[in-house]
Amino acid sequence: MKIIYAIGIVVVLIGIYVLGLTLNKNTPVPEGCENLKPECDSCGIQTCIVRNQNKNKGEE
Amino acid sequence: MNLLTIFLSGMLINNIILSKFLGICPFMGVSTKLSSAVGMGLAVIFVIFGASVFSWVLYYYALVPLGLEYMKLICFILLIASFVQFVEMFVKKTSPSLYKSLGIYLPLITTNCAVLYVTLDNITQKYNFVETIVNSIGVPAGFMLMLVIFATIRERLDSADVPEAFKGNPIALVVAAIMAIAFTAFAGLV
Repeated sequence: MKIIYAIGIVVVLIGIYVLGLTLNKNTPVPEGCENLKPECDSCGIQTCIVRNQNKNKGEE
Repeated sequence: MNLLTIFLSGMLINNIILSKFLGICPFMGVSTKLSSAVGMGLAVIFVIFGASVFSWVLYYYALVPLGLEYMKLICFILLIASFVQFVEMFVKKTSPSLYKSLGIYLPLITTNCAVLYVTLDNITQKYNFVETIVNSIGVPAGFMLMLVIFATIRERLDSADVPEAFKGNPIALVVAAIMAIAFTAFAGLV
């Protein structure tokens, strides 16, 4: 029975996360905030999603 | 007195950056300007506080009664990620000015190990709800303090005559090491 509760809790949390992600993506960014860029250039993590997004924005 | 001890301990003595070496990425990455450091610091305080409260409730009211304490790591990761998404959406909708100053740092905080550390530390230290709240304010306050101090030093370092080989991150790490030594003096405070 415990394993079912465990799976249930994880599924609920994943569901909440997916819901939050979807709602957040569908929420329009306020005017004037479209091209905001964090000043984190000196961070060395190459795989960071924020870094890659900024790079793509710069290329566009 | 106990609450004051928890607050000071989290903020100064067991500073998350200088004694635990957590949150080093934003510490190095977002400390080049004072304005970014303040924005990031405020966002971290808010997220750690919210995530700690929700994780404490989830642990003691769902995981413990069901005997699923071993699930706390995966549950807290999902909880922090979800919380950050909802906070970002809320800020986008309600306050564009706040989004302009803090919102940009929210995706960075999702992957910040400091947030996960505080939520797990509240459980391992067996803090009650009030102690959890105090710890969840003290630790990120220490993080922000470090970020602000470090940003002001780095702004001065830009105009300092630093040897070529030490420019940039090397001199910043040397400064961080000196700050860590200086902060060991707080060990006798409580």
